[in-house]
Amino acid sequence: MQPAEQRATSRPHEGPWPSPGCLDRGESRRVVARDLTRLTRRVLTGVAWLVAATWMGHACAQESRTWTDASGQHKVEATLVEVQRDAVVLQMADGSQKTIQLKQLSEADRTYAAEARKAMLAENAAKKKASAEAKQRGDDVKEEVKALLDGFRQRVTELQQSTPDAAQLRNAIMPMARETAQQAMKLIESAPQSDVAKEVYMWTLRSAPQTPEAAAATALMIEHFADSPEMAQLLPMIGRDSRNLDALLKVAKDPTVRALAMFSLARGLSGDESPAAEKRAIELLREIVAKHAKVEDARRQPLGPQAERLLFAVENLKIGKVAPDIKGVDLDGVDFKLSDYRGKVVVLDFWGDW
Amino acid sequence: MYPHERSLVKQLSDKPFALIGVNSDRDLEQIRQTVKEKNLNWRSFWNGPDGTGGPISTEWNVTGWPTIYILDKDGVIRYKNARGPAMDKALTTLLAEMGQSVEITHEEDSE
Repeated sequence: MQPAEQRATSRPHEGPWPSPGCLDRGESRRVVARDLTRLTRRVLTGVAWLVAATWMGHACAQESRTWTDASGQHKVEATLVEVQRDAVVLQMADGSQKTIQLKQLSEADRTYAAEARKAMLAENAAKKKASAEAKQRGDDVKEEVKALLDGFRQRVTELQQSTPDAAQLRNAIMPMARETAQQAMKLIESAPQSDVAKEVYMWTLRSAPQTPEAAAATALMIEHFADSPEMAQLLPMIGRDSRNLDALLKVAKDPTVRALAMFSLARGLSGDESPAAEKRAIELLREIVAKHAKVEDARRQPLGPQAERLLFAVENLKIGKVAPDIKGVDLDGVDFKLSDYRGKVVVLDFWGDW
Repeated sequence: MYPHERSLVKQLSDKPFALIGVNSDRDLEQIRQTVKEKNLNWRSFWNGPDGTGGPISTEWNVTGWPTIYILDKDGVIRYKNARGPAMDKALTTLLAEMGQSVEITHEEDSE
């Protein structure tokens, strides 16, 4: 409710009050003028109620209205500025503002004020919500993030021109990338669920991998974007870290993300000799084989056969089990079998010359 | 690794013992050359041209190299990833079960 532009009216005052009158509405002006004569008397007797008002420009049609006191005898034209808990603030035609207690107003005006208050509160709430949403969307940091990442890219381009040696270039870029990641992560801290935040997390994971910033980005991706398409890309980077994978499985609903996370987790657990880890790995693998066999990994290989192989390994390649036979060729191309060596103590050594 | 393995194979040559490798080098010619040059005295399966992604290491769920299994005379897996002195001790134990008393010592330094 903006105070409207005041119409320039120069009229003789009655007492200390500005003279009333609506230039556009003679009838209204007469009522107000008559009432104000009484009002003035009342004020003079010490019972102050209202000051007089002149009709106001644009507000005349929309916002200015006639206010009546509780007795029904006194009226004034004024524009509502604000409704407080137990009072209204009215803008008089002379631009002055007066606070009137609600109990001094007629019932109709009190109802009007109550509705106006409701509308004002709703409007304020909507504004607050819109601003909170914009903040959550990261609207206020989008440009800053973009400028930061563009700046990084530009510095990298410059370095590429001045530093031909690949290793030297990498060494120069890495700390810059980490610093940029730190700044970007800081910028989106207040909007961790926003799209711009997701971009920052993924940027950090790609550009500053294996840093504390990347670890933080991973955790935030899991917390806020478990079911996003980016999560499937991120899974190979999470590797077999059981803490992250457990966290992901707690929140993710997307069946592909879940199946991939379960498989990564099972692979990590399968390398662990503890009975609890083995039990969990077997459970996860059985579930994958039964329910998610067709889900494909990053190399587009279905999980089913992979899970079956791993299940076989977990169940059979443990201490106390007879080792599965190996049939193959030696380095000279001669066929032989592991079981050819039954009766001997065998060290089976998976090795490579690298 | 190589000196320790070479030494074991040499020392236990007259015992019921075998060291069997599963080699995951992609280039067969090159590993043959290495075997000759470094005098690697044990037999190995070749894991194929896919290297560490080959069929044997895949079936055995090998994700780290080297990975070591120690089997007794019945082919039962008894130890996993026992290396160096732990491997020597495991072999001494398993051979003792077969009535073979051995004392393993190494002249060459382990890598």
